Amino acid sequence: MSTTGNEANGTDVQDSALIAAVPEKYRPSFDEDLVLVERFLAGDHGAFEQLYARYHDKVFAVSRGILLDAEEAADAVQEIFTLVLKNLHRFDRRSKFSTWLFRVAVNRSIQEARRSRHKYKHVELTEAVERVAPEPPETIDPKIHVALQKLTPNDRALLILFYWEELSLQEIADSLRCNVNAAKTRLYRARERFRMVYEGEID
Amino acid sequence: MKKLPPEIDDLVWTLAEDGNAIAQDQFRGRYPEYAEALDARITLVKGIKRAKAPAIESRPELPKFSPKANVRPMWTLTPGIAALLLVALGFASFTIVYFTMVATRPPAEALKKGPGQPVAVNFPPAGQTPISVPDKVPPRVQPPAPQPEDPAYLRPQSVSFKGANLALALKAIAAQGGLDITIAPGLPEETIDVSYSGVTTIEILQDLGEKYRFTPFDQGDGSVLVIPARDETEVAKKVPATSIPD
Repeated sequence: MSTTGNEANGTDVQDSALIAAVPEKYRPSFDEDLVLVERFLAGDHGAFEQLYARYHDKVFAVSRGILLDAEEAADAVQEIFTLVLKNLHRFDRRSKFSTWLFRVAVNRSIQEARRSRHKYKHVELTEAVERVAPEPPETIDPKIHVALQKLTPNDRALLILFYWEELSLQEIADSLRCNVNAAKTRLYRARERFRMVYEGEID
Repeated sequence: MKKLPPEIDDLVWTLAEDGNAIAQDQFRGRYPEYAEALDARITLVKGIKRAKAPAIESRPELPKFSPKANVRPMWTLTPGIAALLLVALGFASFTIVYFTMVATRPPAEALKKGPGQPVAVNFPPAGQTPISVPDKVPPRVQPPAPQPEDPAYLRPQSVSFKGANLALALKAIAAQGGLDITIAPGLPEETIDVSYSGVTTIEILQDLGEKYRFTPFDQGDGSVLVIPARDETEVAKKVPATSIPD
């Protein structure tokens, strides 16, 4: 691995140096992620590690926002990247790699959230008290945390993509495999449900 | 808080999300009755945006990627859809069987006769046995359906490599056995000399795995995931103990 990784890093440094030498306005706009994807598919395993390092935090944030639990999110991130590793040859390049990755991350995190919900339905009450409501980090407004907990995983996914990852409606639509109008409607409904829960209009 | 008219509600969301203080002030001046609603909405939007930072602070410090062996496939059917498909399949098989039976049912005249009664075709001359046609035609003996062959990776193979790169050899072995192979990062750069005869592809991969410290996981769908063993000493050097997730 070490040889491949060093070679990969060397190539990356070389690429970056070349790009930096060209004035920004003349730089060709190319997708660095796509270059890494192609390099991985050509057998360079170091390229996948670069994609992992580049997107780990973003995938963790999406997963954390949907699952609301750091430990489960860390576990989900490893599953998500395993899926990406196994299915990268299916990436059709019609969307950006990051959009495809978010789609995998959102779907898998929602599945996990649903499984957790079912799992917690069958635990003992004493155990459930400890496990159902993970404590929010101290700096999160508890009211926000509680409101997010009361939403469905799908609603949380929409809010996380919009407010945390600041994706455009088009990017959200691509990530959820729907059209822009559907994404807009779903986002606005999720936002309204969040407001109503936050302001105590619904429980 | 009373419900806002839809157009004011949209405006309040836009102003809260945009964060333009001048525009917000102008709104408060123009609609003082909705100023409180705007402030509440600004607090809400800021609250959810601010929740990101502490949430991701809890992340582990870039743990080493350790692929999972038994990950469920990417797209799975929901139980509802699966149940519907099952019902549709049941209905379809019933319909096919029903219509096949109707099509092969003997004509009504034949059913009126008692079972097994001979139908005289012609009176034969004296001393000869009458020819009779049984009502039931014995079923045609169907030739046995061809058994599906074992996939190539379950059939014995012979491979031989000298001075070959491990990863390339694995890919070649998998290709020969018709397996789709995915190699996770971290496979050692080794040169191998091997020769196998009369063993299945999976067995070859398992044997190589023992020698070169990786585990081939047969995914059961004609694909195999190769996961190199983790070098614990290297991991311990690279990742501080506190950052390793449970």
